[in-house]
Amino acid sequence: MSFRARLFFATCIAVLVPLTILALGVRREINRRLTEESRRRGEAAIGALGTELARERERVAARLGALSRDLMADNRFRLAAIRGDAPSRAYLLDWASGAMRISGLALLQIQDSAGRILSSGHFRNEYDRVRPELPAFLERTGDTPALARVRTADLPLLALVTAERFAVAGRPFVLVGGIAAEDRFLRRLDPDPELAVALATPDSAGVPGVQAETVGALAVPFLDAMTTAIPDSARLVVTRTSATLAALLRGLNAWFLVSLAVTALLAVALAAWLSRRISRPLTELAEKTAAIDLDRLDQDFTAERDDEIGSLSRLLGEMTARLRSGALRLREAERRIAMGDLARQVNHDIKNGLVPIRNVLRHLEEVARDRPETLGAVFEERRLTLASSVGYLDTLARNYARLSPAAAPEACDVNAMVAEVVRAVAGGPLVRTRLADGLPRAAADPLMLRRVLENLLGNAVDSLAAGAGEVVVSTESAARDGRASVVRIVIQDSGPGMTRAELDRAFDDFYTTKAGGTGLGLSIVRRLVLDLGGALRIDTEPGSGTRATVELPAAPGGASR
Amino acid sequence: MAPGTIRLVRLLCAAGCAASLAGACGGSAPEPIPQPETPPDPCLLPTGEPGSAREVVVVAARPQDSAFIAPRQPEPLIRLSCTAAAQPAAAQSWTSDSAGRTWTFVLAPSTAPISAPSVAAEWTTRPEAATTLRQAGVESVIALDEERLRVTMSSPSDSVPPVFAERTLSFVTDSLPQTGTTFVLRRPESADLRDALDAGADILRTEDPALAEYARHRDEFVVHPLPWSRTYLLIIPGARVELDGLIQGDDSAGFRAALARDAVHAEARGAERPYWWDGLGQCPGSDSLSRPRPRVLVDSNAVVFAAEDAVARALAERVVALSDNPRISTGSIPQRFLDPALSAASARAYVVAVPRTPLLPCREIATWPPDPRIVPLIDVRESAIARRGIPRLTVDFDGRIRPVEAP
Repeated sequence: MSFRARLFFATCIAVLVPLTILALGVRREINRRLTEESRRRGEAAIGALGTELARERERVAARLGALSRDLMADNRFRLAAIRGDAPSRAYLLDWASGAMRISGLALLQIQDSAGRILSSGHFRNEYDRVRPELPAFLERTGDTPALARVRTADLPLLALVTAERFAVAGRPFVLVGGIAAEDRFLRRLDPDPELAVALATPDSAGVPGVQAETVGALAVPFLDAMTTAIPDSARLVVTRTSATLAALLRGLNAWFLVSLAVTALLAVALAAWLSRRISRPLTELAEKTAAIDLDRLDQDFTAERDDEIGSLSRLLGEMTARLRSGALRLREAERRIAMGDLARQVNHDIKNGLVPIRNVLRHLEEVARDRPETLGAVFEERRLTLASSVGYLDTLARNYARLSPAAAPEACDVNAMVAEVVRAVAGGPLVRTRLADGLPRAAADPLMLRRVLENLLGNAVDSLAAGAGEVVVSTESAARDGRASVVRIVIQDSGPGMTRAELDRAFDDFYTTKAGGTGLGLSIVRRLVLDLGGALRIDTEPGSGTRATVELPAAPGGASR
Repeated sequence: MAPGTIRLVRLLCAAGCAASLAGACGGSAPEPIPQPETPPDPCLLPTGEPGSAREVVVVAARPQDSAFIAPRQPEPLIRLSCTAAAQPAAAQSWTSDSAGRTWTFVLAPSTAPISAPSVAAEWTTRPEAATTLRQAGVESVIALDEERLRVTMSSPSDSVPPVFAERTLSFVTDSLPQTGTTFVLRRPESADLRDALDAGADILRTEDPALAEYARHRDEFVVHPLPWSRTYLLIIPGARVELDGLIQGDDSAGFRAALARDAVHAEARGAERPYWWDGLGQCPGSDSLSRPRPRVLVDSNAVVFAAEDAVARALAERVVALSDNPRISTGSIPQRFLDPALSAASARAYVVAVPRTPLLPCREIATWPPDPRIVPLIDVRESAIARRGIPRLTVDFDGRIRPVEAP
């Protein structure tokens, strides 16, 4: 796993794990607080429920009080109820219906002292039935709020009931009234919208929903006037709908998940950015370091950073500088060693060339001494040998003369030089040029540059088997390390290429893979390029041809033609 | 018996009574013979003069009200007055054989181009008419000529069978009333019909005593009680014998009178005998009657009534109030579902309204459950509220209001 990947994952973990723990902790704490708050509100609701129930009963009692006062002053009621006046009977029967509508009650009934219903609003036609249970129950409960289930024509009516007693002409009557204790009433009692109030009568559980949690209950006197008529007790059960809390928690979880996902995405993006930002200088350092070799110690490790990477870069720069210095010394040592070798080689070669000459001369000396008359003939016989040896030495001298030219840099037109060299090899394999327009002149010795080009182009042409393939010579302007401008010459052939081992030895003196080669070509080229302050790079692979890149410093001034 | 014959008998009777009274006093100078007071026609609305043409605004608060004043009503063979007396309509006269089973009707000239053969053909081919004839026990219908129609009944009858006033045996003629009175139908703009009276209505029918009471306080209106037209029954399906205790009170006349007085907001009285369903016997073709059997879901503990009928609702509530079974309650269903529900007999009981005197009793009981217990409750009637001065009007047996033609 790369350093960048490790950095990425480490950043992700470093961000996400604490964040997840924080989210879970916050969620748990909010859940606990919500539950606790709900419990406190439920307890408060029980107290408020009792107060509100008593207040509702007082409202009903107040309405009954007003109605009873109206009845006491009502002549038609008096005529019907006391004197049994037949024409007023219909008025009496319908009185409770009208009064119930006006007063906003759901239950209203007038009974006489025997419990006989004189008028009923919620069940108009139950007149004359004797139902004393409800007034008796309400007399026992007194001012305590009480609930009763009474009969109507269709559905039973569950109501919060109370009674008002009054007398007309000395005869007692009771007015029973109430409001419906249905869902709307229970919602009105409920002081907290987060809670629910349900009524549990003796014959019903009354607690709605499987998702409800009972918070508390308030006992209320209850009479089922439809069945047993035995006073009992009902319960107003306050429940907290866990559905509400669950919905709240679901919303909380959803938002947590959303925020977690967003944060995770941001963390991933941040990790990617950080890892890239941190690893990029290291990658660049690695690339520069990988490009360093003895022939290329010009990598720029200058860094503005004041962190560890900047220090590392500067250390590498110092190391490169030391390497460069060492390489110069090494090159000088090599040069000296090579000169020694060369001297020995020259000595050897000259000796080799002089041996036939010495032998011919010794032979001619012997002929001149012993047979002078044949000297001409013998000389003529041995002249070719002398000529051959002299030619050999001449060739040898010219070869050695190429080894150490004296550099005299001037502004060279590289494109013109390339064209001239290419023309010299015309008639052989295909050589194409791609010369850049406006190419800067290179600061180089024309002779040395020509030798460099001749060698590299010759090697490229020689690499092509039987004239097949092509050689492309291109020039371009480039910037090295973002600073100085260089002139780049690239000679690309489509030959067989070289192995790594062959490439490692390609710059050695006298190493050659060509029949008749001197083994000095690339060695001379490298030295010439270095002497010109340039750089030489060989990129090759077996089967992929060879690419030789020469970079020379651009001369100040104009461009090539 | 033809109307002309009835008038003749009345005149002879009046003359005979006058002669006997004169003979009893003897000798003395003849005093002016007191003219017998003509009893007021209970079917006549004492409004204005007969025949005075006018546009009469009729308020039709209920769907059935509009049918009573349609300008071109289907004409039955006979018309029954509000007291159920037979009067000529499409048939100008009728006679019967001595057994009272075969009745011969003579069509009035005004029915042209309707002829006796076309009437016989229509009655025997139109399903609705054929069913009515079968339920009425009509054995044959024969056209003797263009004007005379002979109908043979399965059972004898002293008077012309009222079934010939049935709507299903009516036919549209070209004749129009010659009174010149035009009825203008107006829908009430509010549920309170007093607003309609105050807005200029000339005539309306109501069963609301409060509305009649309001009209009585207005000098410009005449309130005329119409005949007792409907009887409310409590029908308890026979299989539910345990329901005998549904009404804790007795079914005496006092009980029914109390119901009429206290339980309903209508002009009512306790249901009075005779009850036409008693001794009705086997209805002809009752086995083949096609009873409507759509599924109507009702509570098995409910006392069911038609939701549109306030009187039935009040009676059902009283029945429930009188029951000590707390599970019994009222249950309302739309009027159009009442017959199917009654036929299904799945409820505890039903409060239904039937005609006080049906033209075709077998049709009325066609949807009753088998062997039901019938508890008569109350009779109700409507009142006609008419503006004084409008042309004199008369009321038929079925409640139709007609202008009285000028003599």
